[in-house]
Amino acid sequence: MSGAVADVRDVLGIDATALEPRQPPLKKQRTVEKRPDGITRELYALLGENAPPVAVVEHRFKDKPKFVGPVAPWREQRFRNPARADALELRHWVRQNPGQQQQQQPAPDDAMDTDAADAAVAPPADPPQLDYQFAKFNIKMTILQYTDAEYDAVLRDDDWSRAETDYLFKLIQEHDLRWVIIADRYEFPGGSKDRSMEDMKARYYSVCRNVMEMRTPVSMMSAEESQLYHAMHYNKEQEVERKRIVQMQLYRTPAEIEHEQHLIAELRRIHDSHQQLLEEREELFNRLDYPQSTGSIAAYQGSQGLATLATTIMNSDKNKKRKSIAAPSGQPEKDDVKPVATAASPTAPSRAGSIIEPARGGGHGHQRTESTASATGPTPLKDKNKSNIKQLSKAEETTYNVSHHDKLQPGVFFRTMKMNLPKANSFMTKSPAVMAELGIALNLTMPTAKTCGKYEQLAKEIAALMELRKQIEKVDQETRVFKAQEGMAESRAKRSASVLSDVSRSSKRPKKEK
Amino acid sequence: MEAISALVLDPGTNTTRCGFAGEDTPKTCVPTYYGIVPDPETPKYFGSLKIGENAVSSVIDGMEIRNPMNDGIGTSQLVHISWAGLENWEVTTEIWRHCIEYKLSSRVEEHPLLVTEPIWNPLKNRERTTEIVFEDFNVPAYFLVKSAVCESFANSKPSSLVIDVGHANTSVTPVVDGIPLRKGRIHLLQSRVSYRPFSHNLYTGSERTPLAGLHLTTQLRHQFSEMGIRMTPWLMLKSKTTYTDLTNPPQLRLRDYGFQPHQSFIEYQQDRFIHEFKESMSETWAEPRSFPADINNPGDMLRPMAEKSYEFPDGYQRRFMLDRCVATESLFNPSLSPKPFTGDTPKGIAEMIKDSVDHLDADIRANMLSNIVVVGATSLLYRFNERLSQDLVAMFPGPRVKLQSSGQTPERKYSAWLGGSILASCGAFHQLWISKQEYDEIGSNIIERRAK
Ligand SMILES: Nc1ncnc2c1ncn2[C@@H]1O[C@H](COP(=O)(O)OP(=O)(O)O)[C@@H](O)[C@H]1O
Ligand SMILES: [Mg+2]
Repeated sequence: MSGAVADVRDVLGIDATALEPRQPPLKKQRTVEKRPDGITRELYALLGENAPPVAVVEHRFKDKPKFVGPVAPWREQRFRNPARADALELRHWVRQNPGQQQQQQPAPDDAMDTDAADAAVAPPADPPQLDYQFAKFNIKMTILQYTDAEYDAVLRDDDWSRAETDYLFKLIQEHDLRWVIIADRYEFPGGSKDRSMEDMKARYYSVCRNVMEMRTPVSMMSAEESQLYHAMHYNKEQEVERKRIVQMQLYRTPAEIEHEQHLIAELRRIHDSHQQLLEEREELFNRLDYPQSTGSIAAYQGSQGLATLATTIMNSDKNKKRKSIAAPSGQPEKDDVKPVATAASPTAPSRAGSIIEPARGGGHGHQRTESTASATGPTPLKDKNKSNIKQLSKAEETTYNVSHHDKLQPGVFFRTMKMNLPKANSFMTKSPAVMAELGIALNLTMPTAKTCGKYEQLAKEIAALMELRKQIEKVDQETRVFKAQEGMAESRAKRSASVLSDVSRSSKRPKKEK
Repeated sequence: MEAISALVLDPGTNTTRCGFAGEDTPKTCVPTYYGIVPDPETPKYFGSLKIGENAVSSVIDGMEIRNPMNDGIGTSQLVHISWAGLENWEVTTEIWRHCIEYKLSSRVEEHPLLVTEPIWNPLKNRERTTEIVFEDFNVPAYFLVKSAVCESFANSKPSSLVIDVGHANTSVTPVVDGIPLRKGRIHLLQSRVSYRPFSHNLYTGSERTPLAGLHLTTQLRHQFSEMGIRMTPWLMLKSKTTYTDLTNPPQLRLRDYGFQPHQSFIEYQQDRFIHEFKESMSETWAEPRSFPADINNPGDMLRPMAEKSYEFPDGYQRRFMLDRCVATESLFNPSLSPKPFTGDTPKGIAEMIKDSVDHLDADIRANMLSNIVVVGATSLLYRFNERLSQDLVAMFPGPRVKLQSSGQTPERKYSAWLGGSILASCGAFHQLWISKQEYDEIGSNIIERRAK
């Protein structure tokens, strides 16, 4: 077949080598690469570009491993373990390097072998392997050792004899400071006392501390040593008490556990509401916090200083004006306080005052700032255009009831409808009572621009007052809670003492039954 | 893993398991029960020994079935009859030899040997084992490990509370960092429960009771005989006819061996179908309600117990309901045993665990309770772990109680062997072997120094 193809090529005069780097195999390979395991080619072709939504894993045997080079032989070799004190030789299987293969031919002489039984089966006589990879795991802790002189000098104890102390240290060395096991294995021959783990620990640590202190006085110790020295401090009473509590905790009855869970839930609730309370209080403080002027007024004492001050005020006024126009008319306060606080200039008081000031000339709430500005600030552009007509003085304006507007709302409406009253729910419900107290009708009988303004101011003050009252109540409540907590802490201490005795009684009960 | 082709031997009270270290199941499992045929020719054992599954089950005139051990390896207490003196050591040696040389076809003097022992094994036995191993077997190296430690390792835990519910004993052993605790160990012979020749010891740290497989067998046997069931074993029957009416049973057609087999042999054969009953029928009561005291009048149960039918070897078919739980219930609640104890009633398994935990240091109790390892073939009883867990949670409502138990039957049955296999194939373990050289220098007491 391939011969025929070659002939055809030959006839057609196509160079066989030119055709060699063919594309199709490459393409095929790419698809093979992309195709995940376990999907047949046909199925994969149906899937098209999209990857399958789930990975299909076909269960099949592992591929036959491909070995490269000759198989490395394994042979049974004798070895000694340096971690052992004796000369025990065991045999294990080691992988041989191909180079070593030659020398492993059995040699007849067997002088090294100590065990006759071994000799019969172990043909190789090469010397046993002396290092052993697992020997390094043979690690012992170093436990402090004391000398006779040291013992006589600082370690005497009425409760512990020398022999018993030695026994304890031997046991500690043997069991690498694992106290549970040490306490379990402690059987000092002739020891009349029943030693608890705490007794042993107290003795061990006191011995260590004393010896350390004797070798190097505390003041001379290196940082490391003194850290160790202080870490060795052992408070036996505290440990005994701790264990007692741990034990108690383990033997709680279901009722106690339920009670405890209930208490935890309660605590969490209190904690959460406390957090909320703190947040609210902080917010209030922020609100009440008057921006304090920090700079000294010395700079403004000269006439030049005053002039700069005037321009600053004017500029900041302008800023404010733009802001309040841009801001939704409902909440001027929040927007205004911030820039004032950052500016921290002496103008702040007057500005803050202006917030609650009603519009002087303006008849409508939302244009109030504009009219205020027109009174104090430079004349607005619009006014300049009209200046050739007639400039009315302030008094004249009031008499003729002239007002300036940026833009009039089309249509007819009641002025009272446009009044800017606090929207809080509590205000709606509580303000009538306050109004009644002050003897002011809820509905204005004569809603002129002036009365409306005053009414708005009054409403705002009432709202502020109510807010203050609420906060005071909250703070009061909090102080009461704290006081109560103090009281409770005392009574709880008493109560838990009684519970403890209860528990210890109940945990003793089963023992009696035995 | 570091293979030095060590042998691992786990002599249980029911079977002795043996195999090579590093493998995951023992190569062979030989009954620890053996037969003895009186034979004046072999005065050594007062008869010739029959060891191995086939030998023990062959019908031989006068063959008696015995068990060389109950308390640890080869003490003088026997399960079926009293048996005094040293001979059972010889028998133990023979059984081990049978495992290694006959079943494994290996030469015992070629392999380091790891043997498991129960925690209560007295020093006398440990020394004797050491002697046998070095003198009779001539092993190059040897070590004795507590089976509880192996079982803990087999469940991949260095620290755990190991509950082994085996054949003759159920034991509770706290293991910390691979070392079993034994504080306040009171020798087991001091206090005895006169129920069979077992002793109920009062270890404080580790506990054990006879409430295990053999106890269950005894209770079931008693239960069956109360029901009036003829417990003729398969081996004795020529053929059977099925029947359900106990009052009018068909004539038994017995195989004629020309002699009456020994009573102990018949009992051992009965144990075989009782064992089958345990595997297929017995169930542990694991309902929230406690087990009804009167099973014929159980009141309203939340879950009706499924009815199962069983055919005894003689063809008698019977439907079992709640009575499937009676014998197993006595493991947890020994006072409800169908066959009452003649002496003190031992504590139930859960109580025993509580006793053991109560003796632990307060700091490790919570850790132990959340690392309870349940092993031993009797724990394969249906719903056994559920029940145990339920009892323990009721006892310790506060701390987290967590039972760990392998789902694989061989791992549960052979966990002591498996742990030994893991240990003996562990490179760092090879420094612990007691070598022949050390034994020659120090003598059998080396075991007490090296393997505490
Ligand atoms: N699936 C099973 N269900 C109930 N009991 C079983 C089951 N398998 C074995 N046993 C019982 O377990 C006991 C053997 O337990 P085992 O752990 O091997 O004891 P030992 O280690 O003392 O030889 C026997 O009494 C046997 O009847
Ligand atoms: Mg066992």
